[in-house]
Amino acid sequence: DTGKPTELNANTVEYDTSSGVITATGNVVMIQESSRISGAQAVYNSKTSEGHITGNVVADKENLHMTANEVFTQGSNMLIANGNVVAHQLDKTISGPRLEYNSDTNYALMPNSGTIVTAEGTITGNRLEAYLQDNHFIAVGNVHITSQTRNIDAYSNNADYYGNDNNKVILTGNAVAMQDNNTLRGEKLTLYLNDTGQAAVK
Amino acid sequence: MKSLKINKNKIAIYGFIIVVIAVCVWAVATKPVPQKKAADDVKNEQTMDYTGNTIVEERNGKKVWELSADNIKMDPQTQKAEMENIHGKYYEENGQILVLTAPHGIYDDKSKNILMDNGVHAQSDDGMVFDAEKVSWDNAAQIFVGEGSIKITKGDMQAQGDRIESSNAFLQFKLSGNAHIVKGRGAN
Repeated sequence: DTGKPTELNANTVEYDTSSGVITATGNVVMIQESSRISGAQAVYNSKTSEGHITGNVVADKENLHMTANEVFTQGSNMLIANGNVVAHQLDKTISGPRLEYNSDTNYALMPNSGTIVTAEGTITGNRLEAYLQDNHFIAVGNVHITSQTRNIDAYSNNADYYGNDNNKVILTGNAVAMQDNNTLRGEKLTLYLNDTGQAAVK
Repeated sequence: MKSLKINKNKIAIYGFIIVVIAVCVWAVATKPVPQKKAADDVKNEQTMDYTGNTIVEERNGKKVWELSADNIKMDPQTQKAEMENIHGKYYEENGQILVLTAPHGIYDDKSKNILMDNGVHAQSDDGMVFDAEKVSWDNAAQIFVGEGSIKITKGDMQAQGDRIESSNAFLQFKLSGNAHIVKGRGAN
């Protein structure tokens, strides 16, 4: 999508016609198609469509609203946010030190630990992937799942959560699940989260 | 009868004398006082007018500027030339040529600085188009400064702002004050 208009507004804009690099400083707003990113400073390479925005960055892309210390953009569909990243999308909040988000596929990756909070509960892990469209989350390493609505507390090495249709979570590796006064352990536990708030285990 | 005649003569003589005195007084009273000339009038008289002339400026044997104007009024004391309807060419070191036009401007022969105002339009041979209310060339710093309603376009880039600076005929520039740039298809 190189070539689609990218707009930068700021106190100061410097442009090098030969390298295609734009440097914006002070009250920066960068607009690319449906994304709007504001910060203290931005450098955008119009030849590679790569941008780097720093300083209290706020990024809005369709229904995603994100804040972070810095954001890198690649083209108009790829955002990489670093430092105190908090992203809201509909009923979900994703937070962690780093977030890589592809708006075309609505896929988010938190490679350096993260937490996803939904209306159902919270899932935390060393590495989190979120297929936001399908409400499908994959957590790897030190996984911790809580659900206030179902009074569930669960731990495992890995977890695969399917929110939309089947509403279940598969815990693998040192899995422990506690609900009310029941505790279950195993190498693999599948919690079916039905609408009554109960969890069935297989 | 005779005495009446003498009186008449005397009256005529006295009348004539009075008239002469009155004329002398009037002449003295209304003598035009030489006006002290206003400083500008004095100065204007000293400026030299050129019509349809060109000022050329070189650096190390290379042409840098070529300024022609419908009218150039050079003041030998200040060594500043006021120009009307300017057509200027700036020769960038890389061979690029910037053509500038402006209704009014001032060329300072001492500092080699140039000021163009009242709406400056510039175009370079690589397709850059630039407009500003005022443009100045700082010869010592070798910098262009544009001020007021800056608009610059080149290819799929369009930028606006309050002030612009460039040291290489806008190959690179810095916009400040409400700076806005759009790059990519559909920019302009």
